[in-house]
Amino acid sequence: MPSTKRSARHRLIDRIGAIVGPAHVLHEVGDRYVYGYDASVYRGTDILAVAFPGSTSQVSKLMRLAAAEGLPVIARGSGTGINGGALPRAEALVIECSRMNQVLRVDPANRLAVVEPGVINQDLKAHLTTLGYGFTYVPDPGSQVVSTIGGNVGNNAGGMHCLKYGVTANHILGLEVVLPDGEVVTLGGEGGGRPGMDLTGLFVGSEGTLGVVTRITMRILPLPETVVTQLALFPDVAAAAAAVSGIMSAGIVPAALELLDHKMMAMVDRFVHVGYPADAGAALIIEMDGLGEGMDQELRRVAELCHANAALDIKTARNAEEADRLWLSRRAAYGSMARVTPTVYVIDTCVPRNLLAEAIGKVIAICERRGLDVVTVAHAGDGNLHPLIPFDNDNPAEREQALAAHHEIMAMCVALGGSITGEHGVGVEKQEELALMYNPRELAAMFAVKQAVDPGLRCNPDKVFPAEVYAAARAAGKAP
Amino acid sequence: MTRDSVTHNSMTNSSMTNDSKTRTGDPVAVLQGVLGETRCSGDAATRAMYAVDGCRPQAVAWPRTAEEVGAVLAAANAHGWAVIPWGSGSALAEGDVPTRYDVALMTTDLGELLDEDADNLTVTVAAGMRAAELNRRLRDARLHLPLTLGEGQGTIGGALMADRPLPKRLLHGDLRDLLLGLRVALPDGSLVRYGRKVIKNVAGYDMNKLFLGSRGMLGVVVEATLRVTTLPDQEAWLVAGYASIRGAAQGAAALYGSALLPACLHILLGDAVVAFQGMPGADLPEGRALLVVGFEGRGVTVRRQLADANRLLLAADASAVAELETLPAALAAALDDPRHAAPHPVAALRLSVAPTAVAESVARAVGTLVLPNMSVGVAADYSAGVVRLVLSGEDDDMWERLGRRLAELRRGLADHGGLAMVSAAPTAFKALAPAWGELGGEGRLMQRIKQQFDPLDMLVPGRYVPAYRPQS
Repeated sequence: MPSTKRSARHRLIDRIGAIVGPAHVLHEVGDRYVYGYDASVYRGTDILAVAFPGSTSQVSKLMRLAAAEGLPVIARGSGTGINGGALPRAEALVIECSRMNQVLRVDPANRLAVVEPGVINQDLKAHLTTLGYGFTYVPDPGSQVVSTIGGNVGNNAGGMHCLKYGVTANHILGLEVVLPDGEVVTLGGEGGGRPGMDLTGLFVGSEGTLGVVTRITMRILPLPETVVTQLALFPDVAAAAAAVSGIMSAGIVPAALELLDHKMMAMVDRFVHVGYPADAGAALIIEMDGLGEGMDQELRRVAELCHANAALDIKTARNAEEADRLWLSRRAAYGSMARVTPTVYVIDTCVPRNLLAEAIGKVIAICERRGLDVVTVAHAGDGNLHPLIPFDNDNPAEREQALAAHHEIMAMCVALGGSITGEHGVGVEKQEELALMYNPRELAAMFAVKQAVDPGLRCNPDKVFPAEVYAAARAAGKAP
Repeated sequence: MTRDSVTHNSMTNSSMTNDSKTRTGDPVAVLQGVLGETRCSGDAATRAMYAVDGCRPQAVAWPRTAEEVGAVLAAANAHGWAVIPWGSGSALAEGDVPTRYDVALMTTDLGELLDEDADNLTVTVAAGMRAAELNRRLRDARLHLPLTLGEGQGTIGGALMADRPLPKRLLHGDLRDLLLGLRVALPDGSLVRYGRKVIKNVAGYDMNKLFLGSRGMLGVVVEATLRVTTLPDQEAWLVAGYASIRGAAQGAAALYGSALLPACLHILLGDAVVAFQGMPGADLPEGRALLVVGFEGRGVTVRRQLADANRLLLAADASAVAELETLPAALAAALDDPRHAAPHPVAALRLSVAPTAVAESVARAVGTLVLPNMSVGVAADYSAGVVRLVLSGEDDDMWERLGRRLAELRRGLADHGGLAMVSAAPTAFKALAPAWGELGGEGRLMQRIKQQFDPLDMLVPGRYVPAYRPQS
């Protein structure tokens, strides 16, 4: 590296240090290397530095500095994203929000909480429990023990309990956001019926491409009076999926309806020993919640609908320990895979609920054709499936097959009227696949939002949209 | 950010004042060519019928398909015409006086139910379908879109553009929770689709959220895919009487903080209570304020909740609690829009505040805004923190005084993050007070987005976000 460049670089790092404090900047080669990773199967490029701001004002100053210097900026939480959304793609300034980890306010009377973006999802739930309010924040992505609320907001994270309670966007009432030019704006608020576009909802899931979220106002909900967890076993995925449709069409909305296929059951059983029978082809974990009165009726109806769809057996957890054990068998899905393969390719896609079995069948066929194994878990009530492909990311031939299978699965799900991502976002992994869902005019109108908010295209640059969308904007002279 | 150039024009009935751009062509002739002679009218009576804030369009167009909506916008774009899209018109009173208005684009002939999917609990419907008609057509399948408590005369497209809190939001969510997909005609006439018939979708920006509440600023919604609910086994209502709004809010808070699962917690006050006193067929309790609580679900669940809620409300100082199997139509209409229960409505406002600030905000608004010789009716959705006030009566030079007092109310509410919007008022008042007030950075972002989508400022110009200088 030429010495003039190095000194310019160090001057920049000094200015970053002046904003956040020198102890809160990482810029050595090893630090930069590790920030080139996230939980995806991809790798990022080198970066300028990682800054750890402690306040909104520091984030604003960092954004002003980045704007003045034309620096790309990448906001990062815990780096648990599986699509490469936090991967650096240029000599970027990474803004890591882990120091902004305070729960600022808990207001049960208004059913809301206000937090900083670095709060860990599970820590917020624990905080609410400790305070004894009897309230919880519902969204529970699989990564909840490590992922931050800021990251959850950036990716509009889902989880097991979206079926009844919705994804992250449904729980976010307001945001404080630092825009690319450093301006701090407040979106949304505590009251409903606010005028104009739902910009809060728009920013949720924008994957850091519109600015950095520095404060989140979210809805908290009273814990349900009664929770019952059940396990229903079926001869195959088709029967389990049919039961799911039957339950929902009957007007019953379980808190969760999770599906594991035969291979997934075998895999987790070796790990956590739930005692899944070998002859079952699929399992549904069903959680019902609500008032005590009427729960028995509701459970009977669910059992009838399962039996009407060839259920082999239905068990109800008799106590919290049994319920936890059932849930562990679901939450251990990825962990049990990690024991048997160097890499787990977690695929995230969503189809109309009644097409779930068809989609899973097609996923298996696609993987078989490419010589790949695949096991499947699904948030079945949402039609959100996660085929897991074990492979070796360091084996180029396997990697090529896995990536090709991923693309085929995306195209198949879009053809079924589904989405290329249900809850994990686009990042770098699905940029090109976004064009499977949206034509050039649709992408251009979507990109108009980006251009309105981040005209310099510096926030999480060159992510989410297909490369040709960025190229077209630059060719038209509408972006640097 | 100033709005004066937008809102302070003195409008005459038929001529637009802010005609800075070149408009070409005769909208009636051109659009009759596009849509057919009977689908566009320029006669005086029709134009008067579709006036907005006293401004009459030159042409009223009734496209029948999404493609025709696109063609109208493409023509408007080519000729520099300003367009206001219409549903039933029930929410169009909200907004500043338009700076230009050439074409009233009626969406009411886009009325098809395009897809009804009981397996997935979704419907796809053309934007001009009226909510009441949709629910009539879904009834046989026991499906329901919970947009209103009464017979909703508004259209689905209009509901999405206004994005009011839904009356049973505590059980079924708001429109942002129900909206899965949209088809929109953009200002240049092109048709785009966002979202899918899936309830989880994070592929790119959530454009549904962008268009939701956008009031036609960015494009014309022609089709929507929405989650629907199944009709409940049973519905029941409690109406509790209170001596004051504070008492009613305390009752609402007691239920909101309990483990019960009411569908709604609405408070009525003033004219909205007077209208129902002595109403035949419904024995409502006495009191200056009424708390209306809805429950639905299985019989046994509803019965338990009625019993518990009754106890909680009486413990929270309700004078009496009445139990109703169904909500009387007039009461439902007043909860949907308190103008229905006002003796002589002259202006309507909407407040957005935290639930615990509802009582204090109502007291403040009533104290600030209600002049001598005027009365007020209030309907508040406690859980949404949305208060709707309707002023009735007349007073000399009232608009000027109200304008000053609204500014004072807005300052007071802003201290706690609250807002006051004007939902309906005569143009004399609109000239004195912008409908949405000061939205700060959020308003500037809306303006920047509108500029990207509608660089010619041809959609609802001047009505909602501050004007920008259109690109030449």
